[in-house]
Amino acid sequence: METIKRNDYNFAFLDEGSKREIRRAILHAIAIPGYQVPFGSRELPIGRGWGTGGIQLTMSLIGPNDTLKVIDQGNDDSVNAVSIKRLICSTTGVETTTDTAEANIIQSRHRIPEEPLREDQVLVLQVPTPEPLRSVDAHEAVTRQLHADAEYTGIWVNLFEQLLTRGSAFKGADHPVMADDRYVMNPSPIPRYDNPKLDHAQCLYLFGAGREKKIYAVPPYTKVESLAFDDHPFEQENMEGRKCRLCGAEHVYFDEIFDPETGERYYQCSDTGYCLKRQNEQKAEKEGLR
Amino acid sequence: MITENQFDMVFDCQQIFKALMNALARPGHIETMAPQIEKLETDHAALLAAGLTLLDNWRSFYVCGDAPELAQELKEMTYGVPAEPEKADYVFLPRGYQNQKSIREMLESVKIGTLPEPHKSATLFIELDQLCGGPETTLTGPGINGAITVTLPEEGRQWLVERQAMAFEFPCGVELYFITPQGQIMGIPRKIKVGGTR
Repeated sequence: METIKRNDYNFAFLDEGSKREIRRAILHAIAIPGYQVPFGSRELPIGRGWGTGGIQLTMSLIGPNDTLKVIDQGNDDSVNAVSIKRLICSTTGVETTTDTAEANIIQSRHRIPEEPLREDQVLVLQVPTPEPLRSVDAHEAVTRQLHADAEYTGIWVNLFEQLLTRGSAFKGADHPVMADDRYVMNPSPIPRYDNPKLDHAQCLYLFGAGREKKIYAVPPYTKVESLAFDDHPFEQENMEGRKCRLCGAEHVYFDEIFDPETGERYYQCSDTGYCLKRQNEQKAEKEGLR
Repeated sequence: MITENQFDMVFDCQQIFKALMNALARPGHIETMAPQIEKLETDHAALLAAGLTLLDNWRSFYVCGDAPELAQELKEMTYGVPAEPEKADYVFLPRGYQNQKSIREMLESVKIGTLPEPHKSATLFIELDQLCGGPETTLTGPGINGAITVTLPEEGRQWLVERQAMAFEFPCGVELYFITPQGQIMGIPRKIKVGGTR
């Protein structure tokens, strides 16, 4: 397999003009929380829909002294996470880590890490469908006007229909939120368990949709409220009574593993970095006691 | 050719962008781009540095006041398009701009975006001698944990008060960056209010 050589490309793969375009969009996105800023999405050596929005954000942010963590559904070692990490590392030479606390740029698909993020950290989320109004109208010009008028009746009707037909107004993932009492936005397909982490967080959240050519953001300490009805308040997934089989953690978001031979169900932390850290701490404690 | 300590369009611009981004994400906090500014031996180096990071032939700019050398450098080094304040994406206000236009006149002339496209608005870079030492001003809004007290000089405070008095209908508005010649920077996005409670 041909490997990418550091000097074959500009630092962080993208040319400086592309970075400027993305950086300008990031600044507008931070100034208007939840508003989708259109940008000239670039071609990358990864197909659109595989995290290109997130990669372009990370490439525009990253400097040689940064430490990067990439996760895919909480997992540091999945194919998508490893491929993205390899591309970024081979074109920047930055250090990577699986420890959330050590990273200052974290790129993620479908999860927000379990450990609370700090003010000096940026979480970049990959977004497949940034437009929460797309199910209401297929035309970009119409949805843009609906956002301008803060006309979100269509979304409320959709949620109400879902409540009537399925008994729950809540989506399994990507449940829409209201950012700073103005824009309804898709929080990327994170589970509802992660939605409250967006509210008044210490870190900066950046959302990149490469295929849809949109960037949006939630600055630190910004009100983010999951959409819900007064008589059907927002609910996270119920994780009660579950325990990680590897580290024993409770009250975190779990992956469910089913053994077809024995019929048993296991649970383990979806955030593998968090799980590994706990296992290492437990091991160190045990060794210290000996 | 001496290349040591030369301004690097890749790495120095990345550091400056980080400062601009953090300043906007945490309004009222002072970020610095001093190490990068030192490499630019010119008047208004801090404004030039911001221009080098954000401008190219796809964006327009306007320099207010008597600083033809800054306008010339921005044009030659970035290929940014000089424009009238009504059309400029980035407006640079070096010290002494007051001789030409008042704060209110400036805010009335720059573009504020539209409700469907609020990002088509101007960002203003205002050069101040310092970012502290003035009267206490409380700021609230997204990016601020409750409220933050800043001590911007009276001129800086006036920008915030005037912008608030203009009462642009959100999401329309303009972003303000206050920059010192030494490279300290404070960002105040459009939704930040003077006073008020969250």
